[in-house]
Amino acid sequence: MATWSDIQAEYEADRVGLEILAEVERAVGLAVRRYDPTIYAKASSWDDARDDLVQDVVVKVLLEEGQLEYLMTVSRGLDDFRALLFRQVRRLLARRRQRSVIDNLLDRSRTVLETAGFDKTRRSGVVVYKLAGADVEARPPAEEEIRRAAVRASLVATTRFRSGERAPEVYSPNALATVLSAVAEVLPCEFALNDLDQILRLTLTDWIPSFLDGDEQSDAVSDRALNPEEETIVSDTASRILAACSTEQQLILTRKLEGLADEQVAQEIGISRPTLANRKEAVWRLLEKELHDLSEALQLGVTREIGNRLAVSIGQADG
Amino acid sequence: MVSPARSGIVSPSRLDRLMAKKSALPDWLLEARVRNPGNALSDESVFPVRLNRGEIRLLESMDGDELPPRVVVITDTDVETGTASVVLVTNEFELATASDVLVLPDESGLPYQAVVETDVVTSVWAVQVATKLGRLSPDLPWLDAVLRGNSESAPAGRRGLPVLGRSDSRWAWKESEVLSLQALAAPCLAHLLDTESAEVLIQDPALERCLAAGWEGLATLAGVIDAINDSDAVLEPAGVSLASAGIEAFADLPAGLGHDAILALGQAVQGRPTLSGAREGAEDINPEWRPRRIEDPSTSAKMALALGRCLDAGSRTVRVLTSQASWGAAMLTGDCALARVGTRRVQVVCQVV
Repeated sequence: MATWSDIQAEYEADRVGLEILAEVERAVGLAVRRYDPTIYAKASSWDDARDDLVQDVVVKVLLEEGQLEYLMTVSRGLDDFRALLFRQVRRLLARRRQRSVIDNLLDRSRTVLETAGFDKTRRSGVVVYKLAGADVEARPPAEEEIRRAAVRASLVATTRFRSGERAPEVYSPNALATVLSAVAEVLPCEFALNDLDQILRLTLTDWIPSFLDGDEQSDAVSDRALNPEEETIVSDTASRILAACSTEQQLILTRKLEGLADEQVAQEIGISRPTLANRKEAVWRLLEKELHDLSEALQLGVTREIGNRLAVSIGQADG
Repeated sequence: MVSPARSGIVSPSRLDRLMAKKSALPDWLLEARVRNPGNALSDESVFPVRLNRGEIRLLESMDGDELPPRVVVITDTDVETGTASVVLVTNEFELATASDVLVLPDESGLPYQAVVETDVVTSVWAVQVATKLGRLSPDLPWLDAVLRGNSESAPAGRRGLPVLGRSDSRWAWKESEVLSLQALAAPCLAHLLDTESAEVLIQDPALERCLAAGWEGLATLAGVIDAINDSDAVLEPAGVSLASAGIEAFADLPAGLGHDAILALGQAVQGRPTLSGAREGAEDINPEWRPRRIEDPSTSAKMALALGRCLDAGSRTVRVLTSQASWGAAMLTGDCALARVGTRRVQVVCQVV
């Protein structure tokens, strides 16, 4: 069996040789036990797909991405190296998974975008979309605009990732329609499926750690299905909160949910940062009053519901 | 930190084994190696430690290998305390939040894409970051702002989306990142936050050699006394005796400095609080120095004794009034050396007089 000195010597001499290759095979062998090959490798069994995964880990992750250098720098022994290598294998599996989930969402989005709510046209041979009748610029979105759209889309509630799910929905049909409307409303220009791909990748960033850390239990509270009575409470509370908020307060709430700094929000509204801080406090007090007596699951439900509703209503205001 | 295996010495039998193995490598791996020859990072620590803002360094545990090291960027340095403010860097770029900024290999000198986590910061001792891995390009227009914690100055495409609450699984990831950095920084933070602990000042016993050097020696002595007077540090007792010895040695010199003045300086030194401790001998202390020290057995034993007393008192960092002649490397004021005593490590912040 290889020692840490063997691994170091091989790395110094060749970067990757038989010893490190054997370590990758070992890590892959351990990792794939947990995952369905039909989902993570599009193969009927890992016997067929294991070698491909080993090759991807070595070539794409360790050599092309330079992650081997990171592993060699921070490992202090064989145990560290193996733990980090195992994490690299899971990172790659997570990325594969995210890719297939986004492809699935893009397929579903294409169907939604063909409906009456959106206009479809071609720009330089690429199919592009916009809200039906909207007056937008005929150009692709800029980096900052993509990010803005992703931030808005992230307000719409997703179902959390579960590694065993073959085809996770991520967004219910209504939620996906909300996402697409929000994206189209935020963007000042047409967008193609490629742009939507980028937006979804950003929006679904938090799937990766939930995969890496295997924290499915921690989803228990947040993802517990609400019963009809609780759904009503969530809906009513969200309605009360939004009805009690002025347009400016709704904008403040949206921007804070989007994670913007006070200074940026103050600039957008045209007030000083201390004034914004005072007005934000008023919004928090309003929320606290309504959420105070609710359980954690209901509080989360209300926050998500508010995010869902604001994702579209503020988007319309932005437009 | 270089292991025998990494020293580049390969025995003939090992070479045969390596060659035999090479022939068994799959073609795809041989091709990938040719396409990606790589650029191995030097992970050798360099002493004395002299830090610059924007450098990417490896943060190691103060106590050996008990905690996994992390990669950090230096955002600020304090040569008085021998500490550096650092911000965490991760290789897991796909997890980036709005506070994290992506840097590319040609901007950092690292062989991989990395993310600067502007919201995960701490203070560490300089000797914990002795290994330089790269440096963020000063040409990045947003670098200064990002190192001040303002991630929004970086282009949108380099940042992730905000964490929207505890239900975002990156929340737990961020928490683990904070804990990882805090664990490495704990001894330094405990020292900085402990209002009871004072800096300890040692006079390099090798400075005694300067006492025989006439006018230059007098200048050195005056420098030592000035440094002591300018500092709030607790003195290691050997330092007081050196100052006293110096005063007596120079009292009769026509130095243009009257006996009364020298006596007054000596009294100022002698009135200072000193480190308490019971250690009498240095038999069990054999510090391993980085960089190497140039000293005779007598001064070596005195320095070991002083260091042992500091360790006994719980100090992990000391300031030493020293001269360039004591060290096997160029030493400037503010440079940090490392003394390893068994498994314990002590940072030595140098003040060259």
